[in-house]
Amino acid sequence: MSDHPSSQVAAAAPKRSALYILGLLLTLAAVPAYLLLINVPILRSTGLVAFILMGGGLLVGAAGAKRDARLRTRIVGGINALLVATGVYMFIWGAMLPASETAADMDRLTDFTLPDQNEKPVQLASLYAKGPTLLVFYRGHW
Amino acid sequence: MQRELETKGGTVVAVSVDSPGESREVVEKFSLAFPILSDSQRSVIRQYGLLHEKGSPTGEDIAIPAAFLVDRDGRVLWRHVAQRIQDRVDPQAVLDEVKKQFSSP
Repeated sequence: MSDHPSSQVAAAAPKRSALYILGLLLTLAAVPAYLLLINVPILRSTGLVAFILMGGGLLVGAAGAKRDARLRTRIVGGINALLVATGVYMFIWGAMLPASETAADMDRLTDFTLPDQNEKPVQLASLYAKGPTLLVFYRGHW
Repeated sequence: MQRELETKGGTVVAVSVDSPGESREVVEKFSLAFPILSDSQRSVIRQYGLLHEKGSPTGEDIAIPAAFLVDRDGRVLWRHVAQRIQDRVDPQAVLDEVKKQFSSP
């Protein structure tokens, strides 16, 4: 956005810049961008695209605050920074799972019998007796 | 990966807290050729030390994602235990391990 220099009054009209809005939009774009690319392993694991967008959002927002001293830009800038801090916290600490010593130390699988998707009981040992088997625990449909 | 294991007589088997009905939907949706077992009591998950209390977005107890590759005696040859929600098993890593451990003489 361009400045609006006043031609008549000695004190210049308040400078305005929409960069502070753009900064916030970039930060907000980090979440959908991350979700869109979630099936790319390296991007999912590092969160690279999200961090780039959040970093860009902060930089653009800061540039906007330098050019535009209105209260609203400061408030939005504060919200922007808060969102980035929350995002970083959630990605790094909020995503941590409990440690599992049992699973880390298990040398032989503990046998069990559970119902399959057709409610038929299936015993683990009967599966791996037939050949190399990959047992996968997953979070479920959540 | 499933096919690679099948050529050696093995299989993939998945476990979650989903009910059999919910698991059947997953099997159909992804056209899976292996069994999904229901641990709705969380008993096996607890035995394996993989319980994630209130781990789901709605506060349910679910499993920590993990995978174990075992031989015909149930001995663990390779494992992956997720430390962050973003961690997922790399199928290629499993394939490489299967080939390494079970290459035909």
